[in-house]
Amino acid sequence: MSALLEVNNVSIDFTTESGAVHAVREANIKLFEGEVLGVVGESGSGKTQLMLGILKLLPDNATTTGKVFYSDKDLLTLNKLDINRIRSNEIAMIFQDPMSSLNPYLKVSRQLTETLILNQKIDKQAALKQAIEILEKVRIPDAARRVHDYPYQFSGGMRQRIMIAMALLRKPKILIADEPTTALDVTVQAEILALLKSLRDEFALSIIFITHDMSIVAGQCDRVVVMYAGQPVEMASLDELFYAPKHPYTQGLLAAAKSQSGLTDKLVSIPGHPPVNTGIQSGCAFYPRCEQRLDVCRRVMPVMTGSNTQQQACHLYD
Amino acid sequence: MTENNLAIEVNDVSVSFRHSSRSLMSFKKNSFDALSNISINIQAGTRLGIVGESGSGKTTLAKTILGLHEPSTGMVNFYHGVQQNKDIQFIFQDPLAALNPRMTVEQLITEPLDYLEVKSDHATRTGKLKTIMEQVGLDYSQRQRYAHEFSGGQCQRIGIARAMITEPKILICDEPVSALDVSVRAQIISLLKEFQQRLDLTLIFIAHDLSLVRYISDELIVLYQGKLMEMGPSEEIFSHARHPYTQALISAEPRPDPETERQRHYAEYGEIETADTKLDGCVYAGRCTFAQSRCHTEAPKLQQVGESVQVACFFPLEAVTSV
Repeated sequence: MSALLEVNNVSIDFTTESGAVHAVREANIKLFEGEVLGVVGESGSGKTQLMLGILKLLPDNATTTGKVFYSDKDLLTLNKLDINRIRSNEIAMIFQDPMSSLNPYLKVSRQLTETLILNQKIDKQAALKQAIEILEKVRIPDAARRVHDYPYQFSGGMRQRIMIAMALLRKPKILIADEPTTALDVTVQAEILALLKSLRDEFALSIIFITHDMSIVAGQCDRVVVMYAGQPVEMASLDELFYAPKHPYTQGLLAAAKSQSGLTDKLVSIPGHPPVNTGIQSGCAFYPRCEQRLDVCRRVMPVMTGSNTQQQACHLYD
Repeated sequence: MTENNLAIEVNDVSVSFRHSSRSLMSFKKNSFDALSNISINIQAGTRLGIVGESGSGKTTLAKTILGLHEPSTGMVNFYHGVQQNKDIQFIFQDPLAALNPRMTVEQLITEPLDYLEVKSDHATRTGKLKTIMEQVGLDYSQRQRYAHEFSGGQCQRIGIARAMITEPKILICDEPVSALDVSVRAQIISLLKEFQQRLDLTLIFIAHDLSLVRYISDELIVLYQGKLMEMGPSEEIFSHARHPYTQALISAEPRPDPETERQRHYAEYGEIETADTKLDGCVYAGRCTFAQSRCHTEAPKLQQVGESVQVACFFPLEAVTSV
């Protein structure tokens, strides 16, 4: 099976006043048609930066190397016009905080019709009709009236629905969802997750779901990439990752998540804290926090090995 | 526990905020009740969890106890030798935002000492700093660094050190781990628990979801739209939520298990659009799947159910399944 999107050896470095920060190091990830790929990691793991890098949305002090293949094109080599076309028609992205992604001064109608008028060369009336239709698809009650409201007049969950509607307007093939429910209350989160599930089928979407929450991965994804310190450390099908995790970091994350949702008697954490992504890395980035570390882990950086459905970057499986 | 162990008594407290709503036709002043008629007795040495979604009034309640909000009716009383302006400390959700970026760790942690009645000399301060940094798991040699040089978890340790250096009797934690990575959350919870047990602190722990609260609280109150929905021992509430809202909070929480999630039936929970409207009935009735006509016309009062739980619901749930 060939991949719909293929991230090939992508590294992202930021030049800062205090030296270079290596946000992503040689990431290789494939997204297959129709699947929901979870990208899990803690803050600083590079999960968001990688996605922004794919869409060339990073600030000027970032350098992205490697290749990102999408329908025989390398996205990283595209000019501004072409990548804009990809962003508006092919790969859409939604973000964590819907309020800061919507323009507070513009009515929802304007924000939704803007791209339609621009891309489809249709008149205002026709665009508005499409906007209302899409709002109905994301189940905003009384869409024909509410389309004329401003973002502040909507609740947090409704705003996230508007963001989703905006992303789906042009019927993209890929949706990148970056922690879309983190800012929401738990009952609202449950509804947004259910909505994403149904839209996935309706729009035949392939989704990259970025999250720090293993519980959301369990309910949403088909395949999972676990990232640590800018690198994928384990990639597996959902069930293999949850029921037979291989990388000690994955095991630690799962144990922490399980204990935090009350599945164990004792609260579990991973000792230490996430690393700072500066300097040259020798050996495994997880070495200082790893309870199963070997001597070789300090010296040699592990590479991805494993089966067709599960790979990990860990010397325990050499 | 006996009555004379009482540390804080929240007696029929309401807090309302005034705001103006302006439209083309009218300009009127309204008031909005962030908390209405809350009564809680908090015993000394208890770990109390306060749970509710955004807008439920949980932070308002904490701030009222702290004296940052004036109750519009009712009052907060302190017993057990607790003085409101001296014995209560607060830990915030976003540790980095709560710390002054231009102060060193040493300045940050010892600053609260400046506001105590009894001033401490340099040697005492250094001694206290050293002890507290050790207790929260920070390296004393890093005392000249700034907050931004630390990770989120370490910043929260600074926040805890800052709160604990004044030796408070009551510690209020407002979502102290929500902004932290999953892998370090448990470290902070354990640290808080350790302090609580060693010093017999009264701990108030605010959270927007129920999952972590069960590890730290022995008493639990559930708030919704400024009203008390359910209150009682945590274990009892977790094993058998009586209020439909508490049940919704528990069941909406995703579980880190693909098998469980595959069998999940996504319920419609509804969402609050405005908290402005004053209703006659139960505030939760509009979202409640069990609501009957009485729920829309009459507000339920807290009633005793079972041995130790109180619930504000006309039709409390029988013991049912989880998830």
